[in-house]
Amino acid sequence: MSDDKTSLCIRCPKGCRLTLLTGEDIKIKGHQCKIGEEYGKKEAIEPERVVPTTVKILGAKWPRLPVRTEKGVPLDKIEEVIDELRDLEINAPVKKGDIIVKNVADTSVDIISERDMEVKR
Amino acid sequence: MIDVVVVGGGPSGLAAASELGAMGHDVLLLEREDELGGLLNQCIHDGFGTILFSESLSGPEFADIFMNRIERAGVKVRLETYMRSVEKIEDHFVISTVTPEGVETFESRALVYAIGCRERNRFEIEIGGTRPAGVFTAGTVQRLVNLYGFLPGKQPVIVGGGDVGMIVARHLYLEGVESLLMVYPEDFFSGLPRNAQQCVLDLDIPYKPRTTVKRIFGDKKVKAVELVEVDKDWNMIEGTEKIYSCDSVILSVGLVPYSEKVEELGAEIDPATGGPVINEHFETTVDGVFSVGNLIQIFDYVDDAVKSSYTAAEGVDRFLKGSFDKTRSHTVLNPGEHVKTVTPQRIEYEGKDEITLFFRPGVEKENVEVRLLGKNGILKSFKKRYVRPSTLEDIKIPKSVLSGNPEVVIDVR
Amino acid sequence: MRLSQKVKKVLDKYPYDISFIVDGGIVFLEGKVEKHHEWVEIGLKVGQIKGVEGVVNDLSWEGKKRSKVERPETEIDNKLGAHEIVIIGGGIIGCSIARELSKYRCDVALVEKGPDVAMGQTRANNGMVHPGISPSKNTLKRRLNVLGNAMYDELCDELNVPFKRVGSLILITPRTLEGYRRYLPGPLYNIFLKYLLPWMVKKKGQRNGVKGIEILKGSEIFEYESVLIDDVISVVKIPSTGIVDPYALTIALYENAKKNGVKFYLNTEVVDFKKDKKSIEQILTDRGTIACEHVVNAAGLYSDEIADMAGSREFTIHPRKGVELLYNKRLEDKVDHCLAELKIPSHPTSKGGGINPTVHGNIIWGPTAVEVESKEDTSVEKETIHEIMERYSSILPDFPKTEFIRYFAGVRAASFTEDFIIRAAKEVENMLHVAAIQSPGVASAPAVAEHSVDLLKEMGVVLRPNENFEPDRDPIDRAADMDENELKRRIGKDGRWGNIVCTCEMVSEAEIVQAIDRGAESFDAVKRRTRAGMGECQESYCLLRIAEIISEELDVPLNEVKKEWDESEFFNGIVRGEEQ
Repeated sequence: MSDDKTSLCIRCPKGCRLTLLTGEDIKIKGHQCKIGEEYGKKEAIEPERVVPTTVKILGAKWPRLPVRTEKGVPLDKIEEVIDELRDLEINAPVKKGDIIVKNVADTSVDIISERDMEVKR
Repeated sequence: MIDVVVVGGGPSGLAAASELGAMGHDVLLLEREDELGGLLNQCIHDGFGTILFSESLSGPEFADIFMNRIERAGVKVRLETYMRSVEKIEDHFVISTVTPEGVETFESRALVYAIGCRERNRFEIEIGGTRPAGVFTAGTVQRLVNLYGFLPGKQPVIVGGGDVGMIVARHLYLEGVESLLMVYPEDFFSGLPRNAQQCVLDLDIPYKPRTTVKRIFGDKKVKAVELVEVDKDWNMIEGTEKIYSCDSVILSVGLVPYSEKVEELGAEIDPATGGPVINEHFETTVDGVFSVGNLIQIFDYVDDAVKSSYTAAEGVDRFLKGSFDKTRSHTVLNPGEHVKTVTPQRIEYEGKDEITLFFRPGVEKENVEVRLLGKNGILKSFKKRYVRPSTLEDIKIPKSVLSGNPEVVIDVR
Repeated sequence: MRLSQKVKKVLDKYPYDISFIVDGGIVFLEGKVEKHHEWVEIGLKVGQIKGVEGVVNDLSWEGKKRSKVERPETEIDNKLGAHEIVIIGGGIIGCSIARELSKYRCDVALVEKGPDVAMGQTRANNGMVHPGISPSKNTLKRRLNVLGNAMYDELCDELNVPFKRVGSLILITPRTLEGYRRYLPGPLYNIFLKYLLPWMVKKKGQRNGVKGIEILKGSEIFEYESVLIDDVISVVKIPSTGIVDPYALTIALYENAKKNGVKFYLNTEVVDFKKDKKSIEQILTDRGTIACEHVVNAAGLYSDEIADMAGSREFTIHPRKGVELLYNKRLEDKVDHCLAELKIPSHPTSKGGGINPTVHGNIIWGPTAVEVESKEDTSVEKETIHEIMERYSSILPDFPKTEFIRYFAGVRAASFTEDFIIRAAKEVENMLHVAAIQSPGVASAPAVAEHSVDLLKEMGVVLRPNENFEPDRDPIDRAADMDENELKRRIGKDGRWGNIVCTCEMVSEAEIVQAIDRGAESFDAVKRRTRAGMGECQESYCLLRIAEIISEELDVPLNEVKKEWDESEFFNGIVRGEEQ
C-alpha cells in the first residue's frame, strides 16, 4: 500500500515541498539536498511534534501555566493530548520540568511544566 | 557610578547583562515588566536554543537559562521599572526611573539598549473601515491566550504569514476557536518552513496567499472583513473583494524598533532598519551607548540575537576598560542591489578579528552570489544556495578585508 | 406667497416630482430623487433661500435606509425621576448647557444614550477653537462663535482643562484662486493675492468682531511658521484661534455639572414623549420615564428625530463626515499654529480643513467634509487617508506625512440652512431646540449654553442664581506632568503612581484607577480620561494591562471588559472552553 503525503522540509528557509511515498519502500521526492531527503524519510515513518499549551494554575501570578510534551508525540495524537488537559487544575508552586501529566494520551510521553510558578504573594 | 546599565530584560538584554556580569562588571538590568524574560514568557512553543544549545527549548525554558546566569553573574535587577529619561552628562549617563517603590536615578559609564520592537498596528498598514473591538496585534493575542487563558474571538482572521502569525494560529486552533483563516500578501508563508508545516499545514488551517484585509466591518465588535487579492507588488486588485464573516482580526504585519529613546540621546537612526546605526561592537553613534537585539534589526532566531549580545558585551567590556582606540577608521557598509539592510552599518576600529555581517535580501533567488564591493572592485564574495527577503542572512569576514575602504557595498546577484 | 414661489423655482430645476409645503418659515419636501447627493443638494438649495428657517427633507432616494431610533412596542413602566429641565444629549453642547444651568437653583437632568459623554461628533472633533472669521453675516453662528471663543480662557481655567491660544494662519498661495486665474491676467493675479485678498479676509473677520487680525507678507511669514512652503504669498494671522481637547472639556463640564447637582442618566435612550396638548409631560426612555417641565433638544445627529418624536418637525439633519489623521507627538515642534490654505471656491470635500497642533502635542490633519447617508458612518477608507496626505502636504512639503499614528472620523450634524438652530420649538411649548451645531460648534459651545439659558428664561423658566455653585473641577493628575519630587511623594503614598501602564504616554495605574472611580467603565472611557493607549503603539502594549485593571476594579472577568458600548467586549471565550 502506498500513501502519498506532502510535507515542507523544515531544515532550511527554502522549505522544499517534499512528497513522501510511504508503503513498503519509502521514497522522497522534491528534495534538493541530502538533509532534505533524510528529513523526509523521518517524516514519512513517524512524524512527531512537541505540543505546547497551557493548563489552569491556581494561586499563582498568572492564571495559566505553560506546559509541553517532554518530547515529540505522534502527529495524529495532538488533539488527544490537548483534550486530556482540558479542565485540569494545578496548584502553585510549580517548578520547571515538573511532570504535570504522566503518559499523556497513552503516548508514553509526559507533560512537563515549562517554568517555575511561585505562589502569588 | 555603575559600570553599565542594560535596559530591557528580554533575551538580548539578559544575554548582554549576564555576559557583562560574568566579566566582572557592575551591571544593573532594568525591566518594565514584573518578571524577566520579555516576549519569551509568552512564546511557549519550542524551537529556541537549537543554535546555542543544540536543544529545542520553549521560550520560558530558554529564558530560565539566562535568568540563572544573571543571578550567578551578580547582575542587579530592577523590575517594574519605567525609564523616564536618560541624559548624557560629560562622559557618563544619568538615568531617571520610576517604579512602584519610588523614583530613582542611576549613573553609569555605559548604556546598553535592549528594548526590542513593537508590532505594527492596523493604522500603519492603513486598513479601512470601522474601528470596533476585536482588532489585535498577534503579540497581544499570544499573551492573552498563553498567560491569561482567554481567546480573542471564536472566528478570527489572521493577517500575515510570518512566524508569529503562524504560531498564534496554532495556539488558537489547539485552544478551541471555531473557525480560523490566515491571509498574507506573499505567494507562500514568509516565516520559517518549520512553522508553516507544524503550525498551519499539519493542522489543515485554511489560508489564502496573495490576499489582504482591505476593510473591517462592525460598529461595536468586528463582524466581517473585506478580503482583497493583491498582485506581486502587494497592490490590491480591484474587483477581487470578498466579504468574510469573522469576529476578530489578528495582525502579524511587521515589527518596528523602539528607537525613540536612543534617538533622543542623539543616536543616528538607519532608515532602512528603523533602528540605531551601530558599529561592529554594537555601539551607536553616541559614545558609550550600545544597542542589541531586535532594536537593531529583526532577528529570525533568538539564538542569533543572543549571539550578537555576546559580541556587544565584548565591545562594552573594551569600552569600559578604555581599550578602544579613539582614532577610528571608518568603513560605512551600505546595502546594494537586492539588499535591503546591512548591520553593522559601520566598521570603526582596526583589527584582525572576524566579524559577522547581517543583511536582509531584497529578492527571492536561488544560487546567488553575495559580493562585498570596495573602491577597487570585489573585496570578497560568497555563494548562497537560496535567499529570500523574510530570512535574515549573515556572512563572516575578517575585518581586514574591509580596511582602506571608506565605503563598502553589499549586493546580491 | 413669495417664499413658496422661490422654493418652486429651485425645485423646478430638477427632473423630479417634488411636492412641498411652506409653514411658518419651514419648508417640507416630499417626493423621490435618484441619488443621495441630490437629496443633499436640493435640501441645501432650499435652505439657502432667504426667509427659510428650516428644511424638513422627506425626499427619499434609491436605497435609503430607515432611520435608527425606533419606538418600543410596550412602554417601560419605571419612573426614573422628575426634573424641571431635562437635556437630551451628552455632547459638548448638552454638557455645556447642563453646567450653565447648574449655576442656577434649578433641578436639571441630562439623558444620554451612550455609556459616556462626548460619544458623538464631539469625540471626533479636531479641537480647534475657531476665531469666528468664516461664518457669514446674518447667521447665529457668527455671533456665538466670536462670543464663545472669548469665553474659553476663563472656562478652561475653572475646569482645569488644557487650552492654548496658538493663533491661526490663513495662507494665500498661488493655488488660492486657481480657478479664477484667467480673470486676473499677468501680474494682476499676484497683486490681488498679495494685497487685496488678505485685506478682504481681514475686513470680513473684523466685521464679524474678530480682534487682532494681522496681514503678513514676505519674510515675516516664515518668522511665524518656518516650515511652510516657500510660495506662500500672504498670510492672514488671527491670534484668537485656540486649541482644546474636545472630549476632555466635555468630560470636565460633565463632572463639574454633576458636582453642582445635575443628574446624569447615561445608557438611557429617549424613545418617545408623553404630551398634554402642546406640552411634553414625560420623556419615555428605554429604561423608564422621566417627568419634566422643560426639554432641551441637544441630541446632535439625532436632534431632528427627537424633534419629530416630540411633534415639532422643523429641520432635517444631513450627516457630513470628516476624516482626520493624527500624527506622532515626536513631530510636535513642526507646527505651532493652526494652518489652512485658502482656496476659492473651497475644495468640495475639505472645506474648513487644515493642519492643527493639539494640546497634547500631536499634529492633526483634516477634516474632510463628505456627505454620507448614515449618521453612524465613521468608517475611514485608505483612499481618503491618501487624499488627506496629498492635499495638505501642499503647504507643509517637508512634514513626514506618512508618520500618522491613527485615523478616525466623525459625523457632523448639519442642517440644510447650515446654521445653528437654537430656538423654542414651533409646535411644542416646552422644548428648546439646540440643534444642528456643527463647526464651529466647539468654539461656540460656551456661548450656545448662555444663549440657551436666556431662551429658557424667555420660555418661562424661572432661574435664580445658585449661591453654592462651585466653578472649579479637579482634573486627574498626570504622572507625566509631575517633577521628580512630586512623583516621589505620590508613590510614597500609593505605589500605583509608580506603575507605568502605558509607556508611550507615561500613564500610571493610579490615573487609570482614578478614571474608573470617576465613572469610566470601558477601555475607551479610560483612554479619553487618561490618554492611555493614545501613543505611538496605539494600545498594542497596554491594551491587556489596562483591561486587567478594569477587570479588577469593576470586578468583572477579563472577557467582559468592554471597548465602549454594550456588546463591544474585547475577548470572547476561555481556552478550550474551560470553566472560568
